[in-house]
Amino acid sequence: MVSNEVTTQVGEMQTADLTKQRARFVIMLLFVLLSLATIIALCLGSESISLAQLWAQSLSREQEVILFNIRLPRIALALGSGAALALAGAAFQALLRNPLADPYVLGVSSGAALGAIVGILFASQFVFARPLLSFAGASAATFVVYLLGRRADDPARLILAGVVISTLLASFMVLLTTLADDIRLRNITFWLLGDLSSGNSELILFLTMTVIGGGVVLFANARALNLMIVGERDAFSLGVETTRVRWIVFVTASLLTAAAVSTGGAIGYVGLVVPHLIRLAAGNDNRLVLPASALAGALLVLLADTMARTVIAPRELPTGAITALIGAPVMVYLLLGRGKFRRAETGKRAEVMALPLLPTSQTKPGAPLLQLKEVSFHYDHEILTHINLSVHAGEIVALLGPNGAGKSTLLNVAAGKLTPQSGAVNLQERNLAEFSRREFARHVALVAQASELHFPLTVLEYVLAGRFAHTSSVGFDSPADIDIARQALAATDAAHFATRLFNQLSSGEKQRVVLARALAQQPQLLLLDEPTANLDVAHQITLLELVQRLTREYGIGALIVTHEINLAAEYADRVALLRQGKIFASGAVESVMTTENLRAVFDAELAVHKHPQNNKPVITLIGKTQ
Amino acid sequence: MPCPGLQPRSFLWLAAFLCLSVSCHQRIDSQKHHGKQLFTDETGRQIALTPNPQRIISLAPNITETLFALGLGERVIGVTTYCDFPVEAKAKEKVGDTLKPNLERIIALKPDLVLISTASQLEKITQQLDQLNIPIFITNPKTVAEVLTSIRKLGEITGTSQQAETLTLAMQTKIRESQQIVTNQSLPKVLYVLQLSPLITAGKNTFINDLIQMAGGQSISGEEAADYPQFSRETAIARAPEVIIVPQSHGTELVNVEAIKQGFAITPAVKNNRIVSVNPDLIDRPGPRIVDGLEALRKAIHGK
Repeated sequence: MVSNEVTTQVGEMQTADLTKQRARFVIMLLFVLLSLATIIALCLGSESISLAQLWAQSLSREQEVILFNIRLPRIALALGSGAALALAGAAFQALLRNPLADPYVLGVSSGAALGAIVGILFASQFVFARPLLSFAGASAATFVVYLLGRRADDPARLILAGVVISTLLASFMVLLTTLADDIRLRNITFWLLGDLSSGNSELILFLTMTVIGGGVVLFANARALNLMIVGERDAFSLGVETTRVRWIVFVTASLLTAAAVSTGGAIGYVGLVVPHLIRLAAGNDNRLVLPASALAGALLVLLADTMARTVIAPRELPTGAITALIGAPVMVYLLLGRGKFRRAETGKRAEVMALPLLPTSQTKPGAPLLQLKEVSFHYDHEILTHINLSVHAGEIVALLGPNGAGKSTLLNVAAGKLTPQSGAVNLQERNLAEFSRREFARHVALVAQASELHFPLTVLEYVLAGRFAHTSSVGFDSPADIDIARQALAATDAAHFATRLFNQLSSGEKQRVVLARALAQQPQLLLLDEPTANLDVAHQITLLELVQRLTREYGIGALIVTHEINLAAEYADRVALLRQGKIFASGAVESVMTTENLRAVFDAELAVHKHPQNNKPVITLIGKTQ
Repeated sequence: MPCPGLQPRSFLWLAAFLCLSVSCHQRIDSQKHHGKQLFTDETGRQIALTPNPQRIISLAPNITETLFALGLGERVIGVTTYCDFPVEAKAKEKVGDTLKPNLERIIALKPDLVLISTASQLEKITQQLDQLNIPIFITNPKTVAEVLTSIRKLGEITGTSQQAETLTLAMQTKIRESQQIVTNQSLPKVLYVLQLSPLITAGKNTFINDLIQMAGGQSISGEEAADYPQFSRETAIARAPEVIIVPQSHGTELVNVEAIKQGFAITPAVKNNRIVSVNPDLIDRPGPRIVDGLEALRKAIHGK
């Protein structure tokens, strides 16, 4: 990337540093705040210990015990459970693509609470009964919810399973508490409001290890989560092993919740509000959201707990109530002043030129890129039967057919999402099964209709997701990656809204950005799933001309599923007609798109004429009444 | 317009039901003030009671204990699930627990007196029973002295004033003996642990505090306005309790003593091995056994 223009380079440098610098700034700031808060918390308490005394180490025996045996463990527990809950919240929100998700949504806390209640009721003579049983309860609830919710890609199912299990466990809890005598009842009530006073070294060690371990695991999956908040289908096509990531993140976040709840009680609000605060202040990149949430969560719970034990000392308040009292106003403030916290949108049209970015394709024009040989696929009935289809470098193949003909299934087979029962799918003469997700995503990019994002990303962040398969899954985007993302945006004439939020774009702009993300993958093959739906005529033409230019200039192959038969006739090099799971006809546009073929496939009255200027087929509809 | 789906027959049933309920109501009404005596209960309510009530329902364990101590065990027809003393009380019909009595069961038992302790949480059921003209008497003792008054009052309304007098005299004797033992003794600092994590103790206006004072100790949380405050462990340690008292019910520790030994290792109480278990039923229930609670606390605090 030495040959860039100066203007581009400046822009890229700014962007390259944007994430990393912002991350560094936010993390440093939080770290400083957390250190300060810890020092303050060490000095404050119902029995005051001055900083001078701390420094001079002139503490009485009682003060030493108070400081090291009571206050310090409590601070450690506050930090640990705050970090764990906020991390879990951030992870669940990203995983479930639901800003309302919190660590308790999947029944983890109910499981933990039920376990703790059983411990309080039946085994209060054992010191570790409560934490152990609540951890066991949390794990069991997690397992059941996962079993119920794992089937579909749809995160709503997981949430539903969580809600069902939560409610069920809550009823058990109510039943158990009605059997409790009033001393134990009080015990349970206070525990449910959060209790950080019973930290001992074993529990703190356990919590610390879980937070560190869980934090590392989540951070290692942060990039994948960045892709998954756009949607699992997108993430899959960009090279994420979605099933594996989902499983790892789910289990890790659940363990973090279980560890926090079993050691510090069910402290509410942290897991919900902290990740939101971070997102509002610093954007949606999980590589920043996760560690920053951990620090901010620790900070919030520490502040809340310090208040809880000092405001009306020697009485104490329940920590869980204070977290909400502190968190809610901050959240409201951020929501009201939201714009100030995001980077200003430049709106300037950046002077970026379309550079020879992309894939100097390793495949020669005309060589087969994608080959489907005798592919059959069925669920309970046959959907695809003996499909033979190929896409070569530098050509556009359009796949046409009526609704239910199997077009989407065929595209999913080509994208590796569905594995056919028989036949072979080859990419550059290698079987698809030999490709890892990442390797596959470096060769093939899927362009589908853009969907609304639940977590707003900037256009550049969105396009950078396309670099996932090319870079390590940990760490920040390199200048080279940002360079390629910029070029991809330039190639789709979208460079000037790089810093805008994706959700603020029009449909046409969004579609160009989706295409840019596909280009950032530097693929040799584009799979386009109705890319022109929702676009007006002008944008349809712009998009397809762009695809055509990419095939001509970079030797990319493209397989387009579309209902726009005239656009297909205009831009495709070859056409395949699909009817009832079988290829009805395929070949050059002129030979396949005949009146007879199209009437037979679409079961509609239509006529094919020749375009007066370029002789390509033009299809006109004839109403049935005529 | 009749509601769609509501058949004329339904109206008939409804009408019949209404007539029936009205007639029931009238029947109860007609008995009002017939040979009854007016009393004022401990919340200031005026109620008319038949002398020597024969079908008594007790909605609190301390009242059950009082009734049995007054020799009224035979007349008690319903108690709560919490009423486990004396043993005979367990054999009585249960009408729910103190917080959630079963109204239907109470009505079905046709009581001529329902006894409730502390009015606050049972306002609704009091109203409901009032409407049905089932007589309710509420006791509300807040100190040990008031327990004695309360017992005498119960004797009065149940026609057992003589027994009540004997009982309270015996209790007073025990209280006096106790006070003689602790006079001129030091006032050891006491931590009463209702719950350990978080730490819950008893505040100023509780029976526990009253009893600790009478037993010759001073509670380290005795100045707290709240009845059962969540209390700072730091302060608990800084105030160096000399005795730590934990509730122990039927042989089960309700608070983990090992954890107290660890967490409060520096306090004189733990160093001198002065963690003492006390049956909370003797302290929580403002009934005749409160003097046994006093004795237990005194032994815990002064060892004699």
